[in-house]
Amino acid sequence: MSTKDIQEMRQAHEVQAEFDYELGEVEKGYTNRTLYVNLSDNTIASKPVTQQMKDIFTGGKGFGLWLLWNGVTGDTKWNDPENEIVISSGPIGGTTQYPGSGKSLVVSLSPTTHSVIDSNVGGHFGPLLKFAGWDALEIQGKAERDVIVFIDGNAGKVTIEEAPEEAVDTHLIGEQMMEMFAKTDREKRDISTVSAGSGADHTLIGCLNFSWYDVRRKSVRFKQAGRGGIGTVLRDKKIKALVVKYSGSKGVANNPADRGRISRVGSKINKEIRDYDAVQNKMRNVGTPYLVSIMNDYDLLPVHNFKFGSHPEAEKIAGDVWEKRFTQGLPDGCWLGCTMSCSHAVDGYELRTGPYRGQVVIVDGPEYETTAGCGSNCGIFDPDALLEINFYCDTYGIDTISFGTLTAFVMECYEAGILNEEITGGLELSFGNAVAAIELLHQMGRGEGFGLIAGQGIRRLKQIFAQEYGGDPQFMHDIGMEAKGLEYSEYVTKESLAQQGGYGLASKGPQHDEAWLIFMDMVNNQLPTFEDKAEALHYFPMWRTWFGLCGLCKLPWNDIVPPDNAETDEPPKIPEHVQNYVELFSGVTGREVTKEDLITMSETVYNFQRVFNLKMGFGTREHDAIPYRSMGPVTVEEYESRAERYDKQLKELVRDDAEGKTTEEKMAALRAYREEQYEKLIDAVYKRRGWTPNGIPTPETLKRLHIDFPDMVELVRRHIEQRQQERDDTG
Amino acid sequence: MTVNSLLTILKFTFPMIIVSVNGRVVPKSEYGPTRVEDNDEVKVIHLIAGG
Repeated sequence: MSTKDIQEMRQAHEVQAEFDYELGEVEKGYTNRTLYVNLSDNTIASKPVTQQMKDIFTGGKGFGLWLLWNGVTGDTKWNDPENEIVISSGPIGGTTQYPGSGKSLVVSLSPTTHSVIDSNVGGHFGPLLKFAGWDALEIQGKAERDVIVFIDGNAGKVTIEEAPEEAVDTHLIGEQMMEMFAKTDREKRDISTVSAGSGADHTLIGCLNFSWYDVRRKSVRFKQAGRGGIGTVLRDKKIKALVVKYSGSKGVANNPADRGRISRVGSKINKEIRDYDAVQNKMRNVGTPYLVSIMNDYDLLPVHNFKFGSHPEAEKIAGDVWEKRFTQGLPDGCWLGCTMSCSHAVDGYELRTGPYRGQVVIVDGPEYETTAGCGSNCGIFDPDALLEINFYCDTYGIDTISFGTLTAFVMECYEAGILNEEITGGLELSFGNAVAAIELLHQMGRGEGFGLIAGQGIRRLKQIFAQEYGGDPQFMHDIGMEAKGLEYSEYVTKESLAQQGGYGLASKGPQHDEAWLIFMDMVNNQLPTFEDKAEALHYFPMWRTWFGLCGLCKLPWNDIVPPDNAETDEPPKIPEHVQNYVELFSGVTGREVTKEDLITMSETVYNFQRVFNLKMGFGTREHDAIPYRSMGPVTVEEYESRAERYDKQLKELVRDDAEGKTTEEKMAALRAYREEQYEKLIDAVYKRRGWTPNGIPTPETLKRLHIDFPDMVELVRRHIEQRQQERDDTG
Repeated sequence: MTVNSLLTILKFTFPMIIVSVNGRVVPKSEYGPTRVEDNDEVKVIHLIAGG
């Protein structure tokens, strides 16, 4: 696009509101204020961050949840003006001495779960927002016409501007904003945008794209806040882009309390990554796709809607294939100073389909989730098809995990005869049909055809397919891989009870950022009892969600391990790295903490989120249910593909030698056992977490965590009493 | 049987593992020569980070 085009776009803007503010300094990781923008009445205001907010909620997701709690009621719907999008990094966010310190957490009410969703994302927006003066950005209301919100952290000015001419799709608007607001080439690195795309206009699974300027490639790159449809919320508010500009990012812009302390742990881990990554997970060359072949080898790679765990063609989309396709030797960190540098890209890819056919683009990815979800789970083993899907999901603003998992569900329904070409408008949506899957994606972008139906998400599709096309509700309930309304991320959990809990009990829905226990449980057999599993389902979700309070990426925690980690007391926890984070937190904030304190910080926000779910009408045991496909074989085909394993389990665990039984009878016996196991697991986990048998945090737990606010205590008491009354009534 | 052949039979291909035999951690360089006998207690811990 030409300079003239950009100038004309800018001239077409109409400023709806302006807000001038005093530029400040970050103080030990905090700016001590948040920015509030209301698009309905064009209010822009500064809100203070209190000491209580920092003490209880820490930052990042904690701040997001607190602000959202106060912005909505229990009756607020995702597309009401009262719904908010809150973006916050956290006190460590923006640090450059420690790898993975540029993450943001985004919080909103989800169009698919109808409850609170959180999604973490890299890119530069969160750190630049902080350096521009704000611990969080809180957007409420809806604009009448498409707008951008521009936060100028150099001038100390925030504007809401109607923006009629800009593109909606991310790869275009990301560049447009860069060209519009950078006065020089040097300034391009000072700008970051948040955008969605046309797919987010027409589906409930919209994602957000957070940009950064890649100085080596001289191009805009993107990471995604994928989960939960927050991109759909952005577009519902008629936001084309949120833009932040700040010049002057430097190593100490976060103004830590003790620079020496963070430099020491940073130097140590950076050396560890440089010395050992090449012989461990090769994140610097391959990134997360290294997992594909491992998951395949261990029967954990989702294939054909999670029916199976491996496929002979998986090698076509494995890590070594991507290593050759990714441009090597470039600093692929999504925030400054990250030595893990795992945000790989395929350069010079010519698009073969869709509205941008023929354009030569950079494809950011694919990551493991996209490769497994849109690849093996859909029976697609063509790397170019995956690049096409990855690029268009990103630019259309569609979550690749939800797209992959729901497309896999649709494909199984098609092969089961619930759907046909008449229903799908000619799309032959069988497993492996990449052309049909890509066209489905384009339909989502255009807002037409079967894509418009599919983009509503699995929970809604199950209802539609039953009501409109006569699909068997029980069958679709069993195979529809969603829980709480969110599509599953890409791991087969049939043989790991702990991971079934890790997904089923996750606050937002089945996203693995809370717990990833498959190997500890299923392969290492380190969690043999319910109590062991419950303890792991306490520690690991609390530990893993701590990163989202602080602006941190979890990958440097355990995608690299010190060479002597095997000799520690608890190798899965990577104790040396846990201590690094203790030093990092204390070094930035000046607050002396222990590793136990980090867990308590997280436990506080975790329980707050659980009660938030309760506020929105969820948050009880029934909502922690999971589809049977995540626990065991739904179809005869699945059972017989692993018959030896299942027959052995029937004999040893269920005490049923299955002699003379049909496959269906054996499946029923196994199912009864596994469903009972899941209920027992939930009982153990609730007890460990200080929750009632119905999954509600007790008033005593809220008090212990200092979140016994009157409205929260009243809410939990009401539910506990109601449950007791129901029990009394039924005797 | 050696540690190496046991890992092959189990299809444990992940590189970051800790193998111990009867409580003794076996260094990777010794997987080839280290024998595993009947009734030995063998533990294989995968240090896999996951998603």
